[in-house]
Amino acid sequence: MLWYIPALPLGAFFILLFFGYLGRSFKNIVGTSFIFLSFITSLIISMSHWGEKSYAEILWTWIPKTHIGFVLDPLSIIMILVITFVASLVALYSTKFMSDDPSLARFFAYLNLFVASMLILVLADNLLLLFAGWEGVGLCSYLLIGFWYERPETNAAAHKAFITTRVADVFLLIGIIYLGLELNTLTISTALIRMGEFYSSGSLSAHIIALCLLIGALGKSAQFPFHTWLPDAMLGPTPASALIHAATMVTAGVYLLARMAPLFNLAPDIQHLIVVGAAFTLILGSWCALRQSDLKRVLAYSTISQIGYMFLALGAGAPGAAMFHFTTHAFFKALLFLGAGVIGEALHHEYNMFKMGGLKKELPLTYYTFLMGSAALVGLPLISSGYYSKELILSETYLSPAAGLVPWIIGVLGALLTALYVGRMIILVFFGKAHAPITMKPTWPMTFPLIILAFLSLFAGALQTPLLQSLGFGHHKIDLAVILIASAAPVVGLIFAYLLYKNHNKPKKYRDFRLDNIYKYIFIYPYIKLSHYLRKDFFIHIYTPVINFINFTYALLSQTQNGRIGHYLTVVVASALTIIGFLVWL
Amino acid sequence: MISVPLEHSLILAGMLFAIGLFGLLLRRNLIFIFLSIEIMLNACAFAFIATGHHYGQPDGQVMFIFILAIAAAEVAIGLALALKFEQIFKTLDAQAANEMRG
Repeated sequence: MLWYIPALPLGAFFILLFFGYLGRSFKNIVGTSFIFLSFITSLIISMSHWGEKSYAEILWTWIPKTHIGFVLDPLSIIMILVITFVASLVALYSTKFMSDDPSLARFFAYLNLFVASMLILVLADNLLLLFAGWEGVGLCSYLLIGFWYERPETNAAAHKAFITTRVADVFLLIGIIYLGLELNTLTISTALIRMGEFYSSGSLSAHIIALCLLIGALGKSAQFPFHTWLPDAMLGPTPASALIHAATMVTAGVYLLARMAPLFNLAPDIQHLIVVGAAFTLILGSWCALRQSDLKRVLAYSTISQIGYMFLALGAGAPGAAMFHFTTHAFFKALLFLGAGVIGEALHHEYNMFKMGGLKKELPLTYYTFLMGSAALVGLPLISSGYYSKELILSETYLSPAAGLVPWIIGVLGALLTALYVGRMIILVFFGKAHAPITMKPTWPMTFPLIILAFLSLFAGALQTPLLQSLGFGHHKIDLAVILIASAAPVVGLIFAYLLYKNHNKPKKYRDFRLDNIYKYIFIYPYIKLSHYLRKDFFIHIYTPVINFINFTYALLSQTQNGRIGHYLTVVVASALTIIGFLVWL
Repeated sequence: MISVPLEHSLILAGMLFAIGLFGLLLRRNLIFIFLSIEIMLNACAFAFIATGHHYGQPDGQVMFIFILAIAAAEVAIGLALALKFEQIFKTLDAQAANEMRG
C-alpha cells in the first residue's frame, strides 16, 4: 500500500482538474484533505516498517529491467514524513491565504501535483522513476512561480527557473544514462552494490557520473552557479514558496546526493568540489541576504545558504547530518515563509521591509512564532532545533578528512552572517515605528500552522538521536572548544546586528552580485545572435512561399465572413437555386 | 362554379414566396424578417392547399395544419428572441448583433 502515498495527492489533482467549477469549500476540502490523508498513510506505513532496512513494492514493469516500484527505507521515511506534514500545513494555510483568488482550483491542483511528484521522487526505487518525479516537481515549480500569469515579471521568473533547472536536469539525465550503461541497471539499490564491485576509488567513470548527478542536484537545489533562479521565484504565491522553494523541492538535490552517497565516496575529487562549492554558496547566500530589501528575497537567499550547509555535510561525507538539517530547515523555513505571508497580507501585499516596522504590537502571534523560526535559522544555542543540526554539520565538517578546518571556519563565518541578516530582518519588520496600518488579522487556518511549526522549530532537535540512529550514523567525539566557538557565532552575530541596524539605516544599494548580467552576456546574448543568424538559412526560401500562399487564401476566404446575415442568406438561396436548377437540368 | 386553374394558384404561391424571400434578404428590422418568413410559410401552405384541392386529396389540408403549428411555434420563439434582442442591443436592427471582427 506504499503506492497510496503518492496516489492520493495525484487523485486530488485530477479531481480538481475536472471538478474545478464546484464551490470554494469543495476545493478547499479536496485540496487539503488528500494531502493530509497521504500524511496519515505515510505515518502508518512508517510506524509499521520502522527499523527495517528497506521495504520494496513493485507495481509493474515499465521498460525491461526497470520497474515502476517504490522503496521505503529510513531515508525515504524521513523525506515522506516531512514532505506530507509540511504540505498538509501549507495546504491548510492556503485555504485562507488564497481565499480571494479566482483560480483557487488551479492552485490546489498544482499543489497536489507537486506533492505527488515529490513523493514519487523520494520513493522511487530506480533512477528513471526518480527522474520522472524530478521533472514533475520542476514543472510544478514553474507553474506555481508563474501562477499569477497576468504579470509579465512572474512569467519571466517562471521561465528563468524552468530553463535554469532544465540545463542542470540534462546533466542529471546524462549521468543516469551513463550509469545505466556502465552498471547495466537503473535500480538504485542494485546500482549502489554493483558500484563497489565495478569501480575502484577514484576511477574516471565514477567521477563522471558523480559530477553529472552533482550538477543536476546543484540546479534543483539552487546552489552556485545555478542559484539565480531562486530569488526571482519568490514572485509566486507565498504558500508555494514556503513548500516548494524552502521546505521540499529545493532539497531534492540533497536527497539525491544522500541517496547516492556511496557513489560519492568513490569520487573523492567530486567530494572536494562539493565542499568548496557549498562553502562558497553559503557565504554568497548569506551575504546577498544581508543586502536585500524584500522580505521574501531575504528568505530565499537564506534558503540558498542553508542548503549550502546541507551540501557541506554531504561533501564532508555525513549524509545523516544533512538529512537532520533538512528536517529542521523544512520546519523553520516553512514557518518563516508562512509568517512572511501573514505579514505581507496584513500590509496589502507589501513585502518591502523598509515599509514595515512596528509590527510587534499589531501581530503579536506572528511576531513570536517568527521569532522562534528565526532562532532556529540562526541556530541559537540550546533552545532551538537549528542549533543542533547546524552544530552537527559543523563538527562533522571539522572532523571529516574531505573538509577540515578551512570549511569549518567558513561555516562558522556563515553562521555569523546568518545571525546578522536575521537580526536585521527582525529589527526592520517588527521594531521601530509603523509605516502603514495593517488591513487584516490572521485567522485560525493561518495561525494554526504557524504555532505547530514554531513548536517544531524549537523542539525538533530532540529528533536528532532517533533520526541518526535510523540512518545508521553515530555520534563523534569532538573538542569542547570547537563546539563553543561555533555556538558563540550566532550570539555574536545577533549583537552585531543590533548595533548595526537598530536605527533602521538604509544601505545605498541592493545587490545580488550581478551574476544575472554575467549570464546575460555569456549565454543569452550569444544565443539571440545565433538564432538571428539561423533565421536566414536555406530553408526559409521553401517556407516563405508556403506562408504567403496560406496568407493569401486566408485573406480571400475571410472576405466571405463579413457577419451580415443578409449576405449569408443570399448565398444560401443562390446555392439552393443552383442545386435545384442543376437537378432539374439533369 | 368556375374552378381556378392549378397553374394560377401555383404562380400566386411562387410570387408570395419570392416576396417573402426578398423581404428576408433585404430587410434589416427583425420584425419584418419574421413577417417575411411568415409570408414564405403561407406561400407554401397555399401551394399545398391548391394542389390538394386539384387532386381532390385531404393531404394538402393536413400539411396546412402542420405548417400552421410550425408557424405558431416559430412566432412564439422568434418574438421572444426579438424581445430579448431589443433589451440587449436597444434596437431591432439585425446588423447590430454583428460582433465578428474578421
